[in-house]
Parts: sequence; C-alpha cells; structure tokens
Amino acid sequence: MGTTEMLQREFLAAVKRLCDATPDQWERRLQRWKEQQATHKLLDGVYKLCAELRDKPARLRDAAIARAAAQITSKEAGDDRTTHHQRSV
Amino acid sequence: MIGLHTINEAFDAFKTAKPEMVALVTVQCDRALQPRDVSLLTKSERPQERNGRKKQIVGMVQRLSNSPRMMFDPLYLARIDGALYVVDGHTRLDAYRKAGRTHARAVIVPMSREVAVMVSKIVNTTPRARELQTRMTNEAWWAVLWQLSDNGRSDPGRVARTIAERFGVNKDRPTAACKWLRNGWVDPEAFPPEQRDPDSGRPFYSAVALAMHRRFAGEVTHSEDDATRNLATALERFATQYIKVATKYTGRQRYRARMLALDRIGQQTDAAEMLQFLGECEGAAGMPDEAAPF
Repeated sequence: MGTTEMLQREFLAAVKRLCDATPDQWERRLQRWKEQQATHKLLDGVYKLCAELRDKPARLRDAAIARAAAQITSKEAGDDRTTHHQRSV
Repeated sequence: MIGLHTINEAFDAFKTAKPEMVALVTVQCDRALQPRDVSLLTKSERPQERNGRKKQIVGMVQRLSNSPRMMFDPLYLARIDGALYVVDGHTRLDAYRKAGRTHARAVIVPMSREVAVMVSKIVNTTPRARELQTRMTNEAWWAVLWQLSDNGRSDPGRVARTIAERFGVNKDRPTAACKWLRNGWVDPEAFPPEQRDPDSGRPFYSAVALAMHRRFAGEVTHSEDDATRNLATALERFATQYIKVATKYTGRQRYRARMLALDRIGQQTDAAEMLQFLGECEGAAGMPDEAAPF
C-alpha cells in the first residue's frame, strides 16, 4: 500500500469515526467548528458530507465508505477492476 | 384485480370452446401476450432461442407446403374490445403466414386484456408449447403473482404451491416471492424503467430477486445504490484533496497538531485545521496514535 493510499484510508477511517460518533460528540464538534468561525473549504465539505452520511442508515454508510476505499484501491492499482465488478453485479 | 380462478376459467374456456376458421388478416399480436420475450434472456441465451424458433418455423412451413389441407392445433385467440389477439400460437401464426395461408383453425374466447395476459403466461408453460427458458418461466409466474397481489400492493394469498405446480417450478421460489409481497418489500418505484415491464410497470423477477438477495445479505438495495455511489465518489474526492493538505507536513508536525487537538488548544492556523480534524476524531475514539514518530 502506497503512502497516498494509506493517507486516503486514514481519512476514510476518520470520516467513519465521525459518522459513528454519538450525537453529543457530533454536536460538540459542530459547535466548536462554528465558534472557531473556521473557513477551511475542504473541512466545510467534509462536515457537510458527514452530516449527510449520519442521516443514512449505518448499513448504507458503511457501504459508501467501503466503496470509496475500493475505488481508491483500484485507482492505486491502476485498473478499474473493482468499478467494473460493481457495475456488473 | 383478478383472481386465480378467473385466469383458470379463461384458460379452461379455451380448451372447451369449438375451433373455427379465422382469417389471419384479422389476427393481431400484442407483445404483452407473448411471454417468450428474447429481451428477458442474457445475450448468450438469445441465439439459442432465436435459432430454435427459426428452425421450428421452417419445419412447420415445410409440413404446411407438403399438404395443403394440413392444419396445426387451433390457435388460442382472445377477443379484446372486438379485436382478435393471439394468446397462444405465435409461432404457428408466423408459419401459416410464411406458407401463404389466409385462414387457420382457432379458438376464440372473449376476455379482458388483463386476463388474456395472464392466460398467455400459463398456456405457454404447458406441454402444448415449446419449452420456455428458465428466465422466461420465472418472469411468467412472477407476472401472475404480481397480478394476484394487486400490483405488489397486497398479500397474494396462499397461492405459492398452486403457482409452482401450474408452472412446473420448485415451490421455494414462489413461496419466497409471496413473502416479499406479503411484507411489502417490493417497491416498483425503486426499480429503474429498464428493470420494469414496459406494459404493466412490474419490476422483473430477476431484478427483484437480486434486490432481495442484497437486502438479506445486508448490502444496499437498488434504490440505495445510486445514493451510495454518489457518497462514495464524494468521499473519494475529499480523500484525494486531503492528501494535498496532509502531505504538506512532516510526521512530527502532524503528531503535534493531533496532540494540540486532543488538548483542545485552538491553534488557528489554516495548516493545522485539517490535521486537527483527524486528531480530534482519533481523540474522540480513544485511538492510540500508531503513526507517531516519537
């Protein structure tokens, strides 16, 4: 596994932890984000996506994260085998 | 909604009615009345079906041209709103036409289109007709079951065994399908148009069975598939962008940022924000920092 893929997986793991966080923890994080008046464009998007993911059932959320990981792996491997497999299933 | 007894009665009416001579120009074909639909098959199965039909027609035309008085079993025709539609005998009709015949023996029974569609499914699975491919048979009994459940809206009743017997399939499949319908698990709107019958809007058995398999396997269903794909793509995009931020810093800087995040010290540099995000997540989950350089 290359460094790029490792970092991407690390990112996905962080997103998953954020999605699985309790409502209290999630609220606290959002509150802090607002208080700091942070404007990091990427993080803004990540929070929005996490909020969207949290609204979905855990089954679907895990499937989306697993799919993203599979896409990352297949791109790293330089082929689109996973994508093709997913398309054909 | 029509019941199974109505379908059976209409089918029996064909068997008891007296055959008569019918002008072939008055006979029409409706795609919905032909369960032998090649598009239901996989690409590899299609040539076999097409060639089988072609061979059968050639043989029939040969027999018709050998003896001018030759006639096959009567066609089953449904009189729907005054017009005649073939319920059974599409191949025979083609053979008559190719042999230049103008009239053929047929049995005519007046009925509604709904009933005619159902009868056509049943009659084509009897030994009277050329054997249907498994996929076609599945779609045929599924169509009847769908009709009995009022287009997936209600319980079809205890018909699984009857249907299995009528169509000559293992009872497990109709039993499982009855359960899906009884519990309201099949939502036709959740299937894209290409996975639905253009005539009745019924989702194809193959698509429903796959969706149910996924449902029980804990995977996402068809309706959720698009949402998952979009979310996964968005996640992947963010993960790619994250690399640009994360690779700017050395391991020591990343570790420090995480520690700062854990200590809830707001170091508001644009640089540390992304790393704080990660650090806080890890902190929240109580994860040890394995990648720490010291």
